[in-house]
Amino acid sequence: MSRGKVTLIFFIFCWSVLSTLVVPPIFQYFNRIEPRVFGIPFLAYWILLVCIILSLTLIVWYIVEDKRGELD
Amino acid sequence: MNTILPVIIIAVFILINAIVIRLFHRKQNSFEEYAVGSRSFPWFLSMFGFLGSWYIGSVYTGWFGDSATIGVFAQYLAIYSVGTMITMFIMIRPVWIWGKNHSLETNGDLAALRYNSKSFGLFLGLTTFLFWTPWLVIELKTLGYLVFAATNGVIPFNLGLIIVGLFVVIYSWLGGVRAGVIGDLVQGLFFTIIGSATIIFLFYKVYGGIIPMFDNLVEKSPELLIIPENIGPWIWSSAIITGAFGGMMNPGIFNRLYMAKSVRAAKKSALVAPLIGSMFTILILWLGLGATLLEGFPKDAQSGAFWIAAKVGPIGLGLMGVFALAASMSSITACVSTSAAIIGKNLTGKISREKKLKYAKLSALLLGLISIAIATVDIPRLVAVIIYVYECIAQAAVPLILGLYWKRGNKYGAYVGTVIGMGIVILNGLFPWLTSWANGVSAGLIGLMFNLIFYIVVSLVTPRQSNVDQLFEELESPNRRNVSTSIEAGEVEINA
Repeated sequence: MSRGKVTLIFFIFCWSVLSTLVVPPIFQYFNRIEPRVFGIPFLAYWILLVCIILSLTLIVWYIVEDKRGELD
Repeated sequence: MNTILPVIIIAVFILINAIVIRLFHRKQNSFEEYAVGSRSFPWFLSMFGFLGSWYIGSVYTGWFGDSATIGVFAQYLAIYSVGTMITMFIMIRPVWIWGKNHSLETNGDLAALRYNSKSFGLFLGLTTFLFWTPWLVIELKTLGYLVFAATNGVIPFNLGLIIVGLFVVIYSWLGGVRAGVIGDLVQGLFFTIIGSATIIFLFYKVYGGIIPMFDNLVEKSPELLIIPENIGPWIWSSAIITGAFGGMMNPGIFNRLYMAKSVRAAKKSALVAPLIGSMFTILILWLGLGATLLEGFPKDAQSGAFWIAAKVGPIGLGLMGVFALAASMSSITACVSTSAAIIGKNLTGKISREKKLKYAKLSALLLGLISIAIATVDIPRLVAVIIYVYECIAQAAVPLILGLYWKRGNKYGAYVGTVIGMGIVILNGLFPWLTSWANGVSAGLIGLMFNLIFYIVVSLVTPRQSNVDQLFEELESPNRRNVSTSIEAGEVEINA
């Protein structure tokens, strides 16, 4: 798979996750207090989770690029 | 309360900064060293450079106040910061390789190279510089406010602004971007490690823990925990999307990309920065979320972080002042050093690099001093101006990001799209019908949409640029410089 395609796949995945917070029809589902997760209201929890998922995705992305020898 | 202790804590923090910056000082005898630290920085310095450039002192004042009064909406800051990192991650490789091969030092250089147009580079460098410098005045004002609040008014607003402002401007002037990033490291370590520990301690001290605070909020102010109808989802979405692209177009970020010693170092720095940055931002905003439920919370919500910190005594207040100062100082130094590089490189015409270095140093000093002078004056319309700033800078995202991946994009599309995008943002105040049809979508996002459409359409109906294929070939074999394009003495010379 070309470097461009790998970049595109990761980029689309990241923005798909972000879309749960930025596309209003989808966001409506997440804009709620219940259910509370670990005691945290749902929207606050979801914002935290999205930030963690995206940060971890960047790490996976980096590892993939490293294995493909694209970082040097 | 002991009011001297916070002053001592802040003074010690500034002294530590001065010592560390002096220890790592290197003679600034070339433009490349002054503007991008000779492209020699390891990943952790680049990471703190990114954090320093993004995380501003206003998080402890304006955003904290917003979190207390309008609730979870303020957390768009954490989300767009992560979005910015994703945007940055895809830009690193081409920006760094072209930067190394063609001695690029500013965002204007990149635009000039990619679009083979000195005038477009100048246009982009100049507009982003003009839209960005008001932030310098805002951050300097924040500095004065922070010192005033953290010392319980012992140090007056303007005195604090002038003392700390001069300190930051002088080390940026003398030490260039290297001094700025070393400062970012010291400041970043303070406000992330000690800052996070202090804020978690404050949660337990003030609310009895994070979950008890949420329990209280759900019961008494549930409206703070969702995006309410009166704000609307499109305003929330616009703030995140525009921020994600606008954050990356901040001219300081380009300098920090160029200063990494390799593509690997730059990418590694982008891995850790969002995790640290977003977690820390969420923590401080959560601390503000429950603040209005506390008895005696000040009417001026911006001072809320200091009011909460003062509950644990003068050490808490002094530390909160240090964290906020650290964030503010690193943003100011990024703004001063990058603006100096833009003036020296893009706005001085065809002169030698030695002279460009002299002009850059001189402009760092003058810009800093003028900004300090302006910041001491009351400017009622400044906040209104700032609203436009980010949305205008975000318009540079279309030509700069697409230009890295789409060979067909050309200077005509870049010019027309960017001018239309910025025009919509700037003229929206005079002609509200430009955006009133869009159901709450911000002028910045509408500008981005039209910018993108015009960039693509105009590029497709105008001739393809001949230099592009060779530029993209460089990305396939980065160690080989295939083309004879160069940005030297501020101009583009194409011999494709």
